[in-house]
Amino acid sequence: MKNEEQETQFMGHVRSELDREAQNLDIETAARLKRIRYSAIEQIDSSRFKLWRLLRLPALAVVTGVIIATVVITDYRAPTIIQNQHALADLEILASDEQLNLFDDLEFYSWLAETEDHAS
Amino acid sequence: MGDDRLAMEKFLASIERRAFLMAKIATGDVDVSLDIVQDAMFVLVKKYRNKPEHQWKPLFYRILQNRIRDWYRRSSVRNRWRTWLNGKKSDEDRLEGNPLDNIADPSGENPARVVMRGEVSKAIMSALAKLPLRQHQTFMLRFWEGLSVSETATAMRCSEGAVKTHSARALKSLRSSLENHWP
Repeated sequence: MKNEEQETQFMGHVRSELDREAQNLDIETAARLKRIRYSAIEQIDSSRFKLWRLLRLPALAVVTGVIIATVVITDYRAPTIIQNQHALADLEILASDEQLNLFDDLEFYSWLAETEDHAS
Repeated sequence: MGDDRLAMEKFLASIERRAFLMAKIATGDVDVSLDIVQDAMFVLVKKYRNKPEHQWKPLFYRILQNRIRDWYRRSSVRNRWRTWLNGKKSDEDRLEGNPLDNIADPSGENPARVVMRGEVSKAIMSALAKLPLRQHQTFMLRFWEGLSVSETATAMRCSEGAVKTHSARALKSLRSSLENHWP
């Protein structure tokens, strides 16, 4: 028991001496330690910035891609459908047995048909 | 976002002086000790800052002790080369077992004599520096830093049994070195 007490006392002495030594570091060493700590902490900010820098380019590429895709889909899909409809009409004309002159005067024949309808 | 930064800064501020003193007693060199502390802080912040806060201390001391061990290895290789080039046999070669366990302070000052001069603090530092590295590390982590046996084992990468053995031996050596001052 006495031995244990002595041991605890001895440890207490050593610990307090070490604590005192740590507290009484010279100003220059303490300042250097502070600088080291700050530069270690700065890594947190710089790594966040680095992450943003790394992600910035892919993010911009994705946004640009989405914009281009949206423009392409909205602007070019409708004319394509209309163009397809015109092509079908042209095909119909070419495939029919009628004389091509008839199609040249198509407006006249339509007017004639309407007038006859009104007359009747 | 700023909370983890603040917590890390607080933690580093709380351990920086002790870490420096541990490294200084182990290496005996201020610049080397500052480099070691810097390394340990940088690695902790870079790799482990997202770990739970209660793990920072054992992790930090693990990195610190690894750096100190690395320094010992490098300097023991340097000493070996120097001894070989000088054609003398080093003291280290004559010691048995793991050389890291037997590396002592090169100053070779007798702690008892220093105590007689009333420089208690110097005597303790000298006695601690005279301890073999593993005993010194165990003593500092267990009895000064207050890590548990398992935390110390984690920091030192050894078994809990080894920590207990090193602690007991360190305590015995220190008591016999400083018996003139504290019986």
